[in-house]
Amino acid sequence: MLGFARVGLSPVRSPILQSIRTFIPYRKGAIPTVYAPLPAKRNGELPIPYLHKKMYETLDPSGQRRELINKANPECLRAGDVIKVTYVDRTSVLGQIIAIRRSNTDSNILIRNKITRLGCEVRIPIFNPRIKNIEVVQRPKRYLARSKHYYIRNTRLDVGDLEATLRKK
Amino acid sequence: MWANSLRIVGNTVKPLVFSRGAARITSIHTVTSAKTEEPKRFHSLESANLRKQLLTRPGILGVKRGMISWYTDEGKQLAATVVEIDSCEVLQNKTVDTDGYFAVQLGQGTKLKNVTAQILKHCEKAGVSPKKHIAEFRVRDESGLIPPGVEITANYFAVGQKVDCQSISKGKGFAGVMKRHNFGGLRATHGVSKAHRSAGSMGATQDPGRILPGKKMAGHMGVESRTILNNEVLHVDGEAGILVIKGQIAGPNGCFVKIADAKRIYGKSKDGSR
Repeated sequence: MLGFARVGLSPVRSPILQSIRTFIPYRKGAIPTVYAPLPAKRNGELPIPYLHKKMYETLDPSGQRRELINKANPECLRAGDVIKVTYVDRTSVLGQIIAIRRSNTDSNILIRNKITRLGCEVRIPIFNPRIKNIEVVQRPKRYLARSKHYYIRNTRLDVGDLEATLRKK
Repeated sequence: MWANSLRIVGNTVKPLVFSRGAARITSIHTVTSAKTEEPKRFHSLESANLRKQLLTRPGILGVKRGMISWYTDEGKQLAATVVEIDSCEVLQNKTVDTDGYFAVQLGQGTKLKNVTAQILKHCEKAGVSPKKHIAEFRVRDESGLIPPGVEITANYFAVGQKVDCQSISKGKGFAGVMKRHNFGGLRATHGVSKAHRSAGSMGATQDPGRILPGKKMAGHMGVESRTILNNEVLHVDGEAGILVIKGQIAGPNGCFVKIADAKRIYGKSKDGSR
């Protein structure tokens, strides 16, 4: 449990000839020994990007989920697509994408469906380890304007009962 | 009369021997004086140290770096704060003999510009680079002391344990009572004029004839030391210097944070009162 990285005193570290800026004018030879800082951790990488990288190694080892919301990918998900999300416990959710929020491991997708003519929305964190698969069921012929489709709610553009329309096909 | 003639030597009582040689008087009722222990004074440093709820080991110093979304193995999504533990080294040990209490002084980060002579000499003594932030943690006894020059890394804490995080909250400037003390404000209509966010009454009139001290009013809000108790440790990476703590920590990103084992859970007083 204890994490003492280096037990011992100064002999481990050699004094350095590092110039120190102080307000106090020192007499010649009176400057105290200044020890070198410890080597930079993570090769100087910033902590949060480093942690996200480490988290992706466990949450998304193949990089498949990241590709789903990567705008540079032509196959990337867009608002208007109908997706089916399958969980590890084999339950699934179907819905049309209303919005995609891109925020590293916190990225999520808002999907909408009509269940017994009642509009239902679920926000799905795509890197959640409980999610087994996200598959595209249907893509529209023509995408609506804007990347966030909040405006379609309760208008003539609103989603229908997706299960029923897919069954008809 | 006999009591006056007793001479106390050490703990034993010896009756006086009259020098004239005529009589030797030793009363059979002579009571040996019982020397009682001096009672422990309540208002003393020693008693205060015994009463205090202290931890067996010191905490560590870090810097808040921001918040992330953390997933548990069960798929539960949690808001978590990332604290960077970088170059956290022991500078000095304080003991009862020299300072009146046991404590470990630590330094965090590196400061190579505008360092004062005092800090330079202090860090030289410990054999570490000049530190950006310096703080100390009280410990219960000498077994909690760590020799100067030792680096403490993030895996000092175990995943799943609870920690207390102390930092300085964000400044909110001069804030009104609704923001500062969660007052309800006054009504929107019914004759209220230009006082919708006011505090209302300050107290009674002639008796007491003054506003009682401590009355909650508008004023400067934030930039106060805040300790968030019992936050769970979600992840530690000692080599990378990263500590992930469940929930929030007061203050902006980049603020200095003191993290210690949860006092309410692991802290105990030596006399058993707490």
